[in-house]
Amino acid sequence: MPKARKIIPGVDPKLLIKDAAKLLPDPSRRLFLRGATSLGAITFLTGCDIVDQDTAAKALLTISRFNDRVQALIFNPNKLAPTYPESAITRPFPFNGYYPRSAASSRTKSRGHLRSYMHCRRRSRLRGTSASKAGAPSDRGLARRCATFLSASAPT
Amino acid sequence: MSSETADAKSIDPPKVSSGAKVVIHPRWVRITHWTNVVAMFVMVTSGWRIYNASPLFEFTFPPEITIGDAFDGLTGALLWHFAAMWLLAVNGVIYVSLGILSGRFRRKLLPIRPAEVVRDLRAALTGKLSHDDLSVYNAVQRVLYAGVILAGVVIVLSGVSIWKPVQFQELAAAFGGYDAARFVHFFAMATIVGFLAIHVTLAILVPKSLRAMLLGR
Repeated sequence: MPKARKIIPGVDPKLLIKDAAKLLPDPSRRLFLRGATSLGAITFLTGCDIVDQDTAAKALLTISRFNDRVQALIFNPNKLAPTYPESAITRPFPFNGYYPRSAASSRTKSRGHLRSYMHCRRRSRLRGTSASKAGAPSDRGLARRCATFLSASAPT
Repeated sequence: MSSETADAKSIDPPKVSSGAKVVIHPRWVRITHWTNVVAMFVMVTSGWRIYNASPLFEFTFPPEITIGDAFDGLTGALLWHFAAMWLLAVNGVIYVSLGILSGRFRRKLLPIRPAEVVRDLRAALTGKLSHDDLSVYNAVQRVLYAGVILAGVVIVLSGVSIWKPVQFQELAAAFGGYDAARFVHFFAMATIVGFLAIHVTLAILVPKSLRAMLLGR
């Protein structure tokens, strides 16, 4: 006699199977674990350069050139840096160089630094406008100080 | 008999692990989520190196956890930062737009009731906060998710204002000027990193939530 299936009276076997299946863990959970371990194994590849430095550098420079075009679009020559009243200046003026203060030339230190900064800000503002000829200071000493100041403190 | 099956399915919420195919996170949510992971990682690690060049406080981030070695000095970090910012911004705009237009933000994040936040926070800290139904966010989740979205908006706006403080001087002024905008940018980063620490920890503690963000359910 073949193996008899137990037939429980009053129970639909299809629904019973469905109920039983609900008690089983979801098979996709095992797939998830398997996927996670493979992903974990990939991290061992950190020994290898998936993207080598050269490719990364090229891609970054391409995006940087795109940024240059965006900056050109944003740029409005008539929009100048905001100016502030003297009362708003922090005293003593904070040192803004990307190099240590000890590397600054004696000319740009202390009060000379503050005066040069304010003169050069004003001068570069005036130079930026078409009225530069009318308003530009004719002091060659100031021009020299500005050139030194700007070259000493300007980052790339 | 078949009507019983239909009733069973309609009564049973998405808790049923097999059979009911309710998507918790649609594909656009999952794609924007993981894209954001990449973008955020690059932005934060390159941003830390930029911070190190001109620290706001009496500390710097260990260079080993920052990126930007492709070029010397600060250049690498700046290039990464100004490259990944596009990924972050575009992906962010897509995510927020779809979230608002699809009604998902309204359904999942609102309402936030202070009493519920207190209650759920207490439950979370005592290990009693249930995660049975991943499709409904508890009050703590709503606060954190809404909060990190806002922090993301603030960090992008403050970042743009310190990137172009002259051309966007009104935006910089809104943050209190260039110097203040740097601090706003930093504190928004701290908020996001703090969120990340909690978020990642919870995702590991409740693995089915991680699965839901990978597979959708």
